[in-house]
Amino acid sequence: MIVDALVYAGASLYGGGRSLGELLADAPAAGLDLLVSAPAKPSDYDLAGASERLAEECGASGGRAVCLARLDPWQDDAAERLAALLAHPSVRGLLLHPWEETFAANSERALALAAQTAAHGRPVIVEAGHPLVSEALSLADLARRVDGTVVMTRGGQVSMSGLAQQSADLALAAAPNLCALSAGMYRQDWLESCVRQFGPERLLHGSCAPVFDLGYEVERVRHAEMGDDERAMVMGGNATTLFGLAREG
Amino acid sequence: MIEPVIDAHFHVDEVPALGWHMPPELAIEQLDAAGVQTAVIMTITDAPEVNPTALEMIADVCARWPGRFEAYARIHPWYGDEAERLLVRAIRELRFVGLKLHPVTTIAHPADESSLRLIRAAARLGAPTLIHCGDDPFCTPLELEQAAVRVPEATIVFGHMGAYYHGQDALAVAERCENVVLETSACPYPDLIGEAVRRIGAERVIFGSDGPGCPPAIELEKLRRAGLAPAELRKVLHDNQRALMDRVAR
Repeated sequence: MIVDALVYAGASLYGGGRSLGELLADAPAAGLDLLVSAPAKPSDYDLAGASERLAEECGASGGRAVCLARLDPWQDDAAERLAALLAHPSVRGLLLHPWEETFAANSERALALAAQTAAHGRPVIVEAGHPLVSEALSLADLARRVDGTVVMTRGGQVSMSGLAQQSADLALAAAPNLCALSAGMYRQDWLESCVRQFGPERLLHGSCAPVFDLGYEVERVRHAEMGDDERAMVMGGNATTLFGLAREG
Repeated sequence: MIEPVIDAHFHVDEVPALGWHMPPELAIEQLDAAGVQTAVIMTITDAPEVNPTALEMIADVCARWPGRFEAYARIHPWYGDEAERLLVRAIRELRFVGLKLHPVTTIAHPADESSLRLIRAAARLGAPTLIHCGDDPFCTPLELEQAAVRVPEATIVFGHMGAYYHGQDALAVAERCENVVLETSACPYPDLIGEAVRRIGAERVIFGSDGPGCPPAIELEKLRRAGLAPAELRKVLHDNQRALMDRVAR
């Protein structure tokens, strides 16, 4: 099963956006069997409401999509809304977006939501690599304090000079429960070195579409040099385990 | 895909401090796998510091594989007269076809006089200047624009065309400055490449991979998804870079 471990569904406050239906319509051409979705930031700033609506959409998708609860740690009712969302069968984890919600990835408020999610046996996906709020080593700091899996988008890197690559490697070395998504970092060969250095179980295909191109990001993983078994893990095996997707049937 | 293809941005170097191993044999392997005949190669490190022999190494690689490589001289602007002499020698004697500046590795603002001096020298020789153009300090499109307007006679190539967050700025600058060319390497947005061709014309967009870190095979896949017409693709993949190189007074 080929899984995209993160797509953003819905119109974004910051412009553009694709509905879950549109993303699901594009998925077969990209060779994708299942999408793990999270709400784009809605214009009303109501992330919990958007998460609830997306969970309902995923429940009606015929097993082709699940979702993540997206919450703003600054909101005082975030823990309560998260608890309700995690009880929904389509919600398989938490998305934190420090860049768009403006908080430090390793802040106490973020840690509290991450720990709450981990206590439910669910992973936490964090938009990573953004300066000031979510550098890779901040993710490692968060992961060290969470009894569960933390996944950083963009390989923990937003630098086309390659300046974030070494810190991303150090973060993965420091926190064995930290994994990376495949899209949006400089250098294709980092995907290969990530698998070589840390094992194929530490990397998941995740496009962050429509921020990045749904189909092109699949090709990025297909072009990376790794063994067939490793590629199968990166393309879907790891996500199937992490998000409990086998239960989709 | 339309043949032939020139890859306008490829690295050959050894940078142990970063763990980057970029031998010419890997370049040939990747180019062959992607069906690319020619690549413009350059180092990661700058001459004369931290790599005093950077230009000779690149020239040697070009000589070992005739017809497969052209070269840009990556030079540190802080070195004044020496830097300009290196550039002139690279083009006149070693037959390089352009200048590469990376303001992150040199901490040299693209509009600082030290950088402008090199850009002007390249222009006098008919050679383009490729500058890293992304999200990093000294490298944003609006910073590079300051150089483009100060040296209007120079062709300035924006490598990576704004990277992750500055793509729209890169297009806007290219619309304002006719001496700016956008180069596609590592830019993760196929749609942005198509938009660039529509807004500034296929004549000012150039294919580059930034190999070997970003292999030409996957970078070409991006061009396939950009929605370009065959005539536009031919310009982007070959003709535009060929024309830039043909203008160089070697």
